[in-house]
Amino acid sequence: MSNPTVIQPNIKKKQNLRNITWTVILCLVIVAGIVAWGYLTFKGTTVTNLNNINPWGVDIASFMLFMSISAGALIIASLPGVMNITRYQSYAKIPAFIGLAASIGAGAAIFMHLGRPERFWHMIVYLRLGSPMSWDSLVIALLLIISAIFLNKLIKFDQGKTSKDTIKKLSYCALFVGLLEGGSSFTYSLQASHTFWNSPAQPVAFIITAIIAGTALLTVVLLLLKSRNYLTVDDKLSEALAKITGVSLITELIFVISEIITGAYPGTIGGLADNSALFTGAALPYFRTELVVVVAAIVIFLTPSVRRNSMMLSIGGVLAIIGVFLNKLTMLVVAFSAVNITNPGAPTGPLAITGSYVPNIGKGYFPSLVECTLVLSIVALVILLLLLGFKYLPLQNKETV
Amino acid sequence: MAKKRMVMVIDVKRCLGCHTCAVACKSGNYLPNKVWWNRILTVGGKDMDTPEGVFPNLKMGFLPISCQHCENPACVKACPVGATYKREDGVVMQDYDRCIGCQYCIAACPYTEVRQFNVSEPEYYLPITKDKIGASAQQKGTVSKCIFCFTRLDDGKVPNCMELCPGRARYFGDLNDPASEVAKLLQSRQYNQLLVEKGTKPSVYYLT
Repeated sequence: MSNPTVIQPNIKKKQNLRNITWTVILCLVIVAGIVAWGYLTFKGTTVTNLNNINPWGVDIASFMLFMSISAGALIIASLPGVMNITRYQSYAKIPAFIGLAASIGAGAAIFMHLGRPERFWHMIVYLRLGSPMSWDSLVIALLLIISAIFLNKLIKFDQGKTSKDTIKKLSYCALFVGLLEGGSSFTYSLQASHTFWNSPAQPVAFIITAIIAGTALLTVVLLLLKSRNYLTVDDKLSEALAKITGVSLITELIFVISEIITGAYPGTIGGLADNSALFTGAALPYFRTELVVVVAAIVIFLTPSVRRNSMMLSIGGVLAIIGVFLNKLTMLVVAFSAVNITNPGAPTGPLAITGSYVPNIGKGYFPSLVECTLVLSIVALVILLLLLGFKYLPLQNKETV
Repeated sequence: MAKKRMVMVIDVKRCLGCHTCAVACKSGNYLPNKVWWNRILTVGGKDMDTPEGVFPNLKMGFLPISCQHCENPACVKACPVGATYKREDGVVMQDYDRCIGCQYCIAACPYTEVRQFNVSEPEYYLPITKDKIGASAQQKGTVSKCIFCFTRLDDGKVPNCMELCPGRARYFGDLNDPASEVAKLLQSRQYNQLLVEKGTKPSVYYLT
C-alpha cells in the first residue's frame, strides 16, 4: 500500500471548485426531476409512454438497478468480515455507504412510480405479506436499515469504538440481507402471466446482476477516490474486483443465452413470443445494446492489460452498470410486449385514439422525456449522496487518514 | 350450504359482435373516456371487426373479454395492500380508496388489458358528476376493472352486459347451485376457459 499523499493547497482548491460545480449540476438535475414529478403528479401518467399493456418502464428498471447496486455493494462490504480479510476491513465502509445511497435511490424510484404516492403509507398499514411486492418492499427497507447500521459500526470500528466480533456478526447479517435480493426476483418470477419472468433461475440471476452492479460501481468509485487522493487502493483489490465483475458478467450472459435457448427449443407459443420480442420486436434496441455493453465490459474486466488502465476500468464499470439497467429494462419490455391475448379490440387508456380503432398490441415501449428526466434525477440524487458522504463522513481508510 | 360461486357463461355462437354489452358496461358503470372494462375482441381478422379468411370464404368470430373473476386470482395474490380482493361469492373487487397505483395487478393478470389504469382525472364525454356515480367513482392513479356490477347483484339483478345483450349470449349465476342455468349449461354444452394453463381458474366460460 502506498504512503499517504500530501495534497497541495492549489490542487485542493481546484478539487473543491470541481466538487462545487458537480454539486450544482447534480442539484439542477434533481430540481428538473422534482419539476417533472410535479408535472407527472398533476397531469397523471398521460405524460409517460406507459399504458395498460406496458405498465412498467424505465422507472421500475431504475428501481431494479438501484436494488441491485445496493444489494451487491452490501454483499461486497460484508466479505472482509465474513472471510476474515482484515487488510480490506477498512475499505468496507465505502461499499456499505454505496449500498445505503443506492437503497435511497431505489426507494425514490418506486415512490415516483406510484399512481397515488400520497398513499405510500398504505404499504405499512394495509401491507399484505402474501404479495411478492411486499417482500420486495421489506428487502428495500432491510437494505436501507442494515446498510446504515453496518456503515455506522464500520466507522466506529475504525475509531476503535466497536469490537471485531460485532463487525463479524454484522457482516454475516449484511451478507444475508444482500443475498435477499434473490428473493426480490419473486416479484417477477412468481407471475405465470409472463413466461419470460416465470423461471426458478431468476433469484440466482438477480444475485449475479447485484454483484455486477455493486462491484462495478465500487470499482468506479474507488478509482475516482484514488484519483482525488482520498484513499489508497492497492492493485490487488482492483484486480480482485475486476475479476469478480468480469466473471459475473459472463455468468449473466450465460443466463441470457440460456433464456433464449429455453424459449426457442420447445417451440411453445410463450417462448417463441419472448424470443420474437427480443430479436425483432419491442425489446430489440435494448437487448442489442445490452449485449454490446456487456461484451465490451467483459473484455475490459477480463483482459489484464486493459483492466490495469484506470480509465478503461472506469469505463468498464460504467458499461457494466448500463448493462444491468438494460438487462432489467429488457426483462420488462419482453414480458409486456409478448401479450397473452392478441386479438384486436377497442384500445384502452393512452392507446385509445379517438375515432379510430386499432389493435393494441405491438406498439412497444420507449420512455418519454418526463420518464427519462425522472430516472436521471434519481441517478443524480444517488451521485450527490455519494459526493456529500465522501465529503462529510469519515470514510477514508485508516492508512490514508 | 355451499359457498356461492358466481360465474358468467358466454355463448360465443350467439354473439353478434355488436358491442352493445361493452357500451352497457361503460354507461352502467359510468366509466370514463378510454376505459372499457368489457371489450369485444375479434377472432380471426387482423383488425377489429374484420373477418377471417379470403372472400367469399369469410368467417366472423368474437371473443367478449373482461375480468375473468378467477377462483385463484393472480391479481389478488399480487396486490401488496389488499386493494384487490375476492368477495364471498367469488366476485373479484377493486377498492379504489386503498389502491396505491403500483400496477402490480396489471403485471400479474394474464388476461391482457382487462385491468386498466386511470392515467389522469376521469373525463367523460357526457356531463356526469361524481355525486351521480357515488362510491364507484373512478380515481386518477388507480386501477379499475369489471366488478360483475356487484351493486346490481346485491339487488338481485344481473350484470349490465348480460341485461342488454341483444343476442342473449350471456348467462350469469351460481355455479355451485346445480339448479342454476349456468350449471346446467356447463353440464350440457362444451366450453372453453381462457388461459387455463396459467392456473387462475377463471369464472368466465365460453360455450363453443
